[in-house]
Amino acid sequence: MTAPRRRVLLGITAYNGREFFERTLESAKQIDTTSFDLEIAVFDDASPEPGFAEWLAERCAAHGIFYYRTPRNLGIVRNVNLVLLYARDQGHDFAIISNSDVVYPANLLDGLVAVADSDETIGSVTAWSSNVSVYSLPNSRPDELLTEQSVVNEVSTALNAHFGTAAVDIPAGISFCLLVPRRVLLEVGLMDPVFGRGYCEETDWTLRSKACGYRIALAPGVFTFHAGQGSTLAAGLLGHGETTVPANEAIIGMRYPLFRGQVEAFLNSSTLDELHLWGASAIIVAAARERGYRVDVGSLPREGAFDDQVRVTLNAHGTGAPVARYRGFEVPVIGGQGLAAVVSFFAGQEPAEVLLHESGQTRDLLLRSRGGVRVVDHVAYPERV
Amino acid sequence: MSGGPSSGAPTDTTPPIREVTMTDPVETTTAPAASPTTQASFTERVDGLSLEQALIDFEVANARVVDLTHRLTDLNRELLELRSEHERLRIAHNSSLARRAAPKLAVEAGAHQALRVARAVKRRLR
Repeated sequence: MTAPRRRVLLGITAYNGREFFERTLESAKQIDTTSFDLEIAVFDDASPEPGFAEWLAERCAAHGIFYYRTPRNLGIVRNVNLVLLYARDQGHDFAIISNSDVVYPANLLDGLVAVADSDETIGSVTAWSSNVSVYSLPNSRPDELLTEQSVVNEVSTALNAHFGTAAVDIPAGISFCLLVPRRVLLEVGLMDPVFGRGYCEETDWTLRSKACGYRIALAPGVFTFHAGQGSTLAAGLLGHGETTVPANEAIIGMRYPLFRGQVEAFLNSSTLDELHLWGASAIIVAAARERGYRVDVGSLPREGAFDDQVRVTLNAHGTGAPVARYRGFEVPVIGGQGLAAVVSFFAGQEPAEVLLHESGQTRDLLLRSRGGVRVVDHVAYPERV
Repeated sequence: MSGGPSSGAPTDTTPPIREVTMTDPVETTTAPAASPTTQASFTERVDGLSLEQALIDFEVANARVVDLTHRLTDLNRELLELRSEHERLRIAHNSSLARRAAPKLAVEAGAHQALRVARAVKRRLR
């Protein structure tokens, strides 16, 4: 007898955002549901943009997604609570609270649930992203380079292959894409409406879950693109340049006097640095395995060029660690300075070609002993005037 | 579809005052309610949940206002008492300072008077 398929609610909270919503809905529909029953519902918090509600309702219907519009604006906290209430009412095994300015990976359910299943004391699982508060995976231009569905899937698959069901304990969860198991929801309850129109409510909720004995986990093996502040700027909740609501921060400070110190301790630990290093490395190595990579000797290509290719820059004079780049991710190649270190970084995979842009010790060495690697010498002018 | 708005709504047995916590009473069973199968039934169900929660939120907010008002009045009373105490102590402190300064002032006044007399005598002797 097979176990019943577990049910997951993906609740997308909405407040305007016509420019990115279609992308979000399409992304939600491509999530792999091989192992789960997924119900997707959009909770529109009375978006004021004229015609938006009708348009969104029509788009949701076209995608087979439930749409609910609140009779009046409730604010983020109470709108998120509708998602949790609906999951609680309908007996979903997991609820995923999500912002609307995101692109989900196909492995969203498998990845997040696997982390939640790995330890029954995990009370919430936050997906990883290039925009997830202080836990972000650094990327130079995520809004240009990471918004395509295929790229999000590629990045998330690479991270999942490396991190698997690893759960990183973080000081507080981020509800841009947060999975909550039903048993935890029943015990911890809803978000606190004292946070008004929003911000810090998930910090409070996850700290309450922690007080109940649950871990607050980040899933580095699940990457969800998050544009960020898509709704809060539209709602006037945050001004440009602001990242939080001070009044709500004050409530957190009063309720959890140790929290700031815990965040500081986390940021000063090596956890994030290692996550960044291993995460970016996994993405770049996986991309190179898929499509090969090129090595540039000299200062070219400049950052921003050939973003969709894996490129490694070697210093022309043999100093400093080589730097590998792909779609805004960047990582130093640790363990040496020459081509051998680069090949070792890519697990023995040799570059498709080595491009020499600048004269110097590295170029001389490569021209003398190029082995089987294709070397293209672009240094066509004399070294000295 | 059985999940109409009234199926999970609070009844009039809800007491007017209760212990309000954010972990609101929930069902302990994991048996799911009948899932909405159409957009209309989904809307109807969420409407019901939203209304029920709005009433709970109102109750929580009201309880918090009452609690905060009590605490505000208590703290206001304490503030007034502390201000009175502070004023009383300030007056006592100033009185003490004045008492301590009085002999010195008297000596200074006497010395000043003596100097004036001496200067007057000196002027007459010239």
